[in-house]
Amino acid sequence: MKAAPSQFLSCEPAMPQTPTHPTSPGDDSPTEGDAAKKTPDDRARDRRLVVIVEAFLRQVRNGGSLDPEPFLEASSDLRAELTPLLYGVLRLEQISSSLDSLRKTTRERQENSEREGSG
Amino acid sequence: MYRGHVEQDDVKAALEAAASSDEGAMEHVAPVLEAYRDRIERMLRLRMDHRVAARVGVSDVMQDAYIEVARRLPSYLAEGAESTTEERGRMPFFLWVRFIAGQALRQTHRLHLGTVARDAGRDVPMHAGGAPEASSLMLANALVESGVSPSGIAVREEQREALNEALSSLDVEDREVLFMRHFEQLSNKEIAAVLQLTPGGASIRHLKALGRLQRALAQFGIQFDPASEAP
Repeated sequence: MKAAPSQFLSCEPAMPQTPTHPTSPGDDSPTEGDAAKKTPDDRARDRRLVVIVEAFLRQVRNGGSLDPEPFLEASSDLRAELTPLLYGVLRLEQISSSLDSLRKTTRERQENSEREGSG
Repeated sequence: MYRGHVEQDDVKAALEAAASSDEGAMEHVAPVLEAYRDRIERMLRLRMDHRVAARVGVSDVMQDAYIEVARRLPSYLAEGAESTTEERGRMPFFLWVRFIAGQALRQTHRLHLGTVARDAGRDVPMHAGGAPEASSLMLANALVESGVSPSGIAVREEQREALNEALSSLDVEDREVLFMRHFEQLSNKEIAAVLQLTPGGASIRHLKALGRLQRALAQFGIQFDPASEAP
């Protein structure tokens, strides 16, 4: 007999297995179409882009400089591809941080208002 | 104990203590859940439908979620060790808690938006880790409500719909990657687990999504890169 359904969906999250059929060597391309077009040089370039973007993101999150220029200068051969990516990361992080501030302010206001109401 | 940040070793120790405890398993993991509170709350706030947000508080959903975590904890602990990159195992604890919270939010959406809510009859979308999907409207709201005006171009209320339209052109996985990485602040490894990709695959997906987002926004004259601004 089946158990009564939970108030929530009954499916438990299964931890995904590491994909066994990577779409490209190294599995760093999400589609088969992309994989077919990628050369080893393309993949090496993608990996460099990933490393640089991750390093810049880490720097921004850790309160470091928000200036992407040093990263662009250090990888001048990738500047054209890297520039929109780094500025994109920067803008999204700024937006996220701004939303967090907004959320904290709203929460503080609510708490103050509740305190005043109960006081 | 450690609100905001929790070391993986502390999580492991708490789960081991909970697993070996006949009763009161929740007491062992409570400090870990408290440390997760900000991240879970951020996810709920970002993904909650604005119509529901007018009626239900995030804290109510969080409370429902943590009650469900307490109910399901024994079966989670019984699944054994967390997965490694080599073998299948149970989901990492934070992602599991996030999954439960996402389900609680979906349930809240169903209750308040009716049974015909968009995703009511669908399978749990794993690209959102069990939570309601990050809609284009959510991203558009984030852009508008943040008060950040990319490249000095004012993002006005009337642009919300236009932004929504632009962001709709992204596929759902692109939106999820951007949402999880920058707004929920999940790590690349966590996103890889949610999307069932390798960490390398998740990183490439992130780069591609960034590129597509900027092309979509460029149609409305919004550039992230100052060098691309029109003179």
